[in-house]
Formats: sequence, structure tokens, C-alpha cells
Amino acid sequence: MTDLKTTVVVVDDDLSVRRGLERLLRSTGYEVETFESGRSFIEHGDYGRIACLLLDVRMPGQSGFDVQRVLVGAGHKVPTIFITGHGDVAMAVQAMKAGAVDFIAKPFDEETLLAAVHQAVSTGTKVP
Amino acid sequence: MSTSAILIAFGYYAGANLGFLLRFPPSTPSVLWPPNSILTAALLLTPPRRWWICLLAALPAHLAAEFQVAWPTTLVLALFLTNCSEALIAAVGVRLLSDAPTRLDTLRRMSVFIGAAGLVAPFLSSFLDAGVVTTLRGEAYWLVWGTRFFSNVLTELLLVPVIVMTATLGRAWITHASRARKAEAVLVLAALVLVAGWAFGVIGGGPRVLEGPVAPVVLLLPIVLLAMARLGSAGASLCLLTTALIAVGAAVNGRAPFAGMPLAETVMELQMVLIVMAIPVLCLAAGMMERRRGLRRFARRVAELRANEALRSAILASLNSAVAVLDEDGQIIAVNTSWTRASDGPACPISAGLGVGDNFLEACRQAAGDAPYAAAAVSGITGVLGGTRAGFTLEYPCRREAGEYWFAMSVVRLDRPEGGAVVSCTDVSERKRAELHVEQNRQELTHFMRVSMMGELTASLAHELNQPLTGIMANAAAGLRFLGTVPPKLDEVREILADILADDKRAGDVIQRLREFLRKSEPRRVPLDVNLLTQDVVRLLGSDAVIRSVTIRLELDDKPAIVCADGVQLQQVILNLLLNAMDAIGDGPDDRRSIVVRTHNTELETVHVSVEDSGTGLKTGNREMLFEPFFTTKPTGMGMGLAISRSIIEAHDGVIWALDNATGGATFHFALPEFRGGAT
Repeated sequence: MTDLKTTVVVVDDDLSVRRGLERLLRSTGYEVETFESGRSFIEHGDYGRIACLLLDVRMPGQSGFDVQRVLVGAGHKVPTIFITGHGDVAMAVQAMKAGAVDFIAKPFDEETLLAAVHQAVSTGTKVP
Repeated sequence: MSTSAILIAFGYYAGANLGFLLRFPPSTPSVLWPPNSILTAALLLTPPRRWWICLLAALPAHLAAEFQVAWPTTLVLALFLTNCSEALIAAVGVRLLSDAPTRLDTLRRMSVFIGAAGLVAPFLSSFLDAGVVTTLRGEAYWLVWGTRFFSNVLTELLLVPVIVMTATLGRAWITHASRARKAEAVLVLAALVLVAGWAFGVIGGGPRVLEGPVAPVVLLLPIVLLAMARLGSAGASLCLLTTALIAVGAAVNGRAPFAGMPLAETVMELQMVLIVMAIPVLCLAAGMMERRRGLRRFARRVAELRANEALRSAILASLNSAVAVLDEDGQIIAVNTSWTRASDGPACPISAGLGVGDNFLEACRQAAGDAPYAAAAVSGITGVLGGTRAGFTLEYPCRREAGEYWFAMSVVRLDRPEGGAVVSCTDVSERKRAELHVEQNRQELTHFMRVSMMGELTASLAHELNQPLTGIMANAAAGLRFLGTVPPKLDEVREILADILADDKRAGDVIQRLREFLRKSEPRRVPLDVNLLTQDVVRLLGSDAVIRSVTIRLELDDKPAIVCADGVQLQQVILNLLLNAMDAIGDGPDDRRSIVVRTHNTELETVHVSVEDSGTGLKTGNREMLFEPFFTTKPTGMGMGLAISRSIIEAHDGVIWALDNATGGATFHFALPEFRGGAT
């Protein structure tokens, strides 16, 4: 199991959002790891085990796009779903261009999120 | 000076010759001896450092006059010395005890003159003179002393005032005196000459029934008194001199009243009568002049007072304010017409119906039960009347059927020994209504700007609400799943519910803050901490800053920065400055996207707040315009934000300003008075 990418990582500066997502994903069987900022994720994240990355776009310090750029720059192909509280078409396009697999606007419903995560995880496992 | 010297010499010579004419040989002294008096008058009119000129000028005249009688040189020179001594004693005495050139127009000046020049100088110098004459001519010492003393007393008393006053006042009198007064003077003198001529038997046969000098002199008394009353010291002394000259002339020529009388006794009697009459007449004349001047001054003062009174009444009457003057007990002692009229219109509730004689302070005390402002008036007026305060002002409302009226009461201390106060009540309703209207407009506009500012914050607010909503959604979904497992994971569910509650509260707080901020309420000033207020605003704006990738750093004073202010309005100012700062940063480079908010309790008892941005800075020339309404540099700006901010800060007795930073960007500052526990 260790080489299987099963961990879903949540990077969001909002504690409440982090905890809610963590519980939801855990309740559906995912292993979940959370980070409060892009910096702490980049420094401490175990990119190899990530099945799906839920990345908040707007955060103090490094934004979600910044984090994504670092990952791509370092050669990590991580299936990334951007989440944002104030998304618009332009931002969604930017996210997809940056290599995201999906883009979800807050507040989202359970099915949308889980479907997106499931999709990302399966995509990630099929294409190593 | 040379003219004076010639005049002195001439006068001395003429006087000496006149003296010789009025002499009863073989006795050396004359009945009237003018040279000494002329010299005395000259010294009185000359500053002491020039006295030697006067004395030197008199010497040739003396020699020329005395040599006519073929006396020995020693006697002539000795007599000059005695004459000079008399003049010197007189002049020194008058100068020491009074003033010179003396005006002889007060009782004191005249008394000093009579004492020093009229009595003491002849008294002392006559001892010398008698000694000289006795030694060199062998005449009887006391006879010479007596003759000389009386003749010199008489001459000093009659001649010196005439000369001194002619010299000092003559020209002014000729120029300024009215024609009537001049005519009066001429008539009085002419009457005197005629009556004296007749009484002393120079004109016509003279009154045969009268013998000796007393009766004719008494006959002249009415004219002398008239001169004294109408023409003053100068007129009186001129009349007395004229009388003496005519009388002595008549006596020397043996005219009717003196016919068959022993010569020496006649002369002595004549001198005595004239001296006795001259002293009181001169004193009275000077006294009357003094009194007349006093009366004139008094009359002038009364006229001034009347003019002042008229001026005061006119000013009082012209005032639109109702004015009352209070005595030290608060009783009304005077009111102006506006005060009386005020009872017809919408009157000040305290003053209505009160008039002179009523006690204003008491009326205030009675009104104090219903109206708090009347109590304030009582303490203010008591303070002014008691001298503990110079004045006070008070504005108070008063409800009438026609609406609300406002009055301004101003009380100032009445500056007089017994105290008192001046109260003025002015109807300031118009001004007050205008002020209220302006304030209302300002509030409306302020609120409008708050609402429109919220528009700029919608993204931020959406974010603020999205976070808890997202949390709640995720948590609730997870909770349902945990409940669905067997067994249900109740511990998880419990934690989830706690988080949901916290999120709900968080969303509620956002709504609550928003509602507070948008609420349209009367501004209410309370002591509040600018530090906490700033933190609130930054929280409200936090998401916006994140969205715009701007860092807001707080450098707040360690101590609470307390001001007395309306919290919502002050938040509005800070929010406005922060939004402007973020706009100024705009799309600037990543390393220039920060804002620093500082608060500082200054030593000047003010709270200083600054918002520093790293944006584009103020444009040159804009600094003065920044706070003007409708001035904007933003494409979509309305130009009201800073204008409203300024009106809010100024309404809180503060100042607001903006400066460019040395390192780029601008800093907006405002300062408010520090609140010090009600002691403001």
C-alpha cells in the first residue's frame, strides 16, 4: 500500500475549511493530510504519496498558483483541484492552463467535491 | 533775551521815575516804588540761570534814574543792592513754594505769591534799605523801614500780578477773548478811572463830605469786586493798581480828600487801606478762578457722562438681543427695548415676563426644577456675580407650539465696585436649525458613503462568508457519514457540531459587523480604543487584502489609544484610508504591496493614526485638493471618500492630512484629542 498514492492533501489557510474537508474526505475513506499554507506544504509535503491535491487559490503569502508552479517546476505531476471562494472564468482558465484537473468554487456541495476528488485520484493512479 | 533786557531796563527806569513822582520829599522812600516789583516780575518770568542778565540790565537804569536826584554814588549802589535783594527773595520764595512763571490762578498760588513776594521780601529787604539810608543820610531808621515796607508791599501786590499776567496771558487774551469780554474789561476799567478820579478829587470837585483815603477807596469797592468777579486775578490787580496810582497821585498833589491832612499819616493810611483791600480781593479773585475752572471741568464731565449715557442707551436699544443689567444680587436694574419686546414673540423661557425690579437669578432658580439648562444658568450667573468667573455662555432649547426654538444666553461681569452682571439672550433658532440641517445632510452623506464603500468590499465579504459556509457544509456532510457507520462515530460528530457552531457564529459575526457598519443611526460619541477599532476594520478588510495580495501590517501603540468618538464613523475613516491605500498599490510590483497602519499616543495628548502605503504616491499639486469634495484620481471614484473622512475627523475636533513617503507611496494621517476620563 505504501507505494499506492492514497493520500489527499488539503492546503487552505482557513482552519475551519481544513478541518471540514479533512473529516469529509476521511469519512469517505481517504487518508488526509492538511497544510495551512503553501510554504509549509512545499517544505513538508511528501509529494510522492499524493493522490490528489486540494489547493486554495487565495492565501496570504504564496497563492495556490504559486504552489502549483513550484510543483511543476520541480517535476512533480500532482493531480490538483483548485478551490476558491471567489472564482471567475478567467481564474478557472488560468487554473486549467496551470495543469489543474478541476476547479471548484466555495461553497461547494459534497457530491461535486467528492466526484472531483475521485476523478483526480483515479486519473492519478491510472497515469503514474 | 536782549529785548527782554531792554524792556527790563526801560521799565525799571520808568518805574523809578514814577516812584520819584509819588514821593513826599524830604523822605527818601516813595509811596509806590515800582522798580523792585518790575525786577521781581522779571525774575519770575525768567529762568534762574538768566537772572544775572535781568539784574545787569536793571543796573544802568537804576544809575540813570537815581543820579537825577544827585545822591552819593555809594547810596545809589547800596540802594540797587537792596532793591535786588527784595526781588531775589520774592522770586526765590515763589519758585520754591509754588511755580514760575506763576499763573496766580489758584488760591494756593496767590497765597504763596502774597506771602513770599508781597510780605516777606519787602519785610526782610527793608531792614537793609533802612540801614543804608540811615547810615548814609542820617534819616530815622524805623521811619524809613516803615515807609519803605508799606510802599513796597503795596507795589509788589499791585504791580507784579499785572506784569506777570500781561506777559503770560496777555497775548492769548487779546487773540482769543470774545469781543464782549474785551468791551466789558474796557468798560470796567473806564468806570473805575472815572469814579476814582471823582472820588479822589482829580476830576471835578470831588465829594466834599469825604475826608481821608478810606471813604473814596470804599466807594471803588463795587467796581473792584465786579472786576474781580468778571475779569479774574488780572482784572482785579489792574483795577487795584489803577486805584492806587490815582489815589497816590491825588494825595501827592493834595487833592480834596487829603486837603488839610498830615501828609505822612495820609500816605500811611492810604497804603494800609489799599493793602488791606488788595489781599482779600486778590485771594478771592484767584479762588473764584479756581472754582470757575472746577465748575467748567465738572460741567464738561457731566456732559461727557450724558454723552456716554446716550451712547450706551443707543447701543443697547440697537441690539437685537434682549439685554438686562443685574445688580450684585441678581436683581434686574435695567433692560433694553429688545428685552421688553421679547415677551411678545417666542421668548426665552427664563426671561419672559421679567422686568426691572424682578430678580433674574431667582427666576432661574425656580425654572431649574423643570429645565436642566436653568440650573446651568444659575451656577453660571452665581459664578459671575461672585467674581469667580468673568463670564459664561449657554445655549438651550425651548419647545413652543410653533416648534423648537433655541436661545443663547451670555453673561458678563459688570465692571464696577459693587459688582453685577449683564445678561443677553439671543434667539439663535435660525442658526441652530441651519446647523442641524447641515449636520443631518452630513450624516446622510456619511451613511451613503458607507453603503457605497461596502460595494467595494463585496468580494471580501463573500469570501468572509464562504469560508464558514464551506466549513459547515463539509463538516455536516462528514457528520452524516460518521452517523451512518456502525457503530456511529459519535465523538467525531460531537467535534463536528462544535465546529459547525463556531463557523455559524463566525458567519453571524460578519453579518453583525456589516449591519453595524451600515446602520443609519444618530452618531453617538463614546470613549473607545482606536487600536481595537483598527483591528476590527482590518478584519473586515482582511479577505480583500488577501484577494488583492496586499499585506496589512499593524503597528499599534502598546497602550490603549482612547478617544471619544462615534465608532462607526471612525471605522469608516480608517476603512476609507485602507481602501484608498489598496487602490494606490493597484497592480504594483510584488515587493511593493504592503500597508502599515500605526497608532500612537502622542505627548500632545492626541491619538495619531497613520496609514502608510507603498503605492504611487500623491501627485504633485493634489495635496491641497485631496480632501475636497468630488476630487478624485480614480477612474470610477466619486471623490467623496476623503471629503467625508475630513468632515468626520473635523467633527471630532481632529485633523487629517497626507504626505508623500521618502521611499515612495503616501501616508495618510489623522489625529484626534485623547480622551482623559471625562476631564476633556
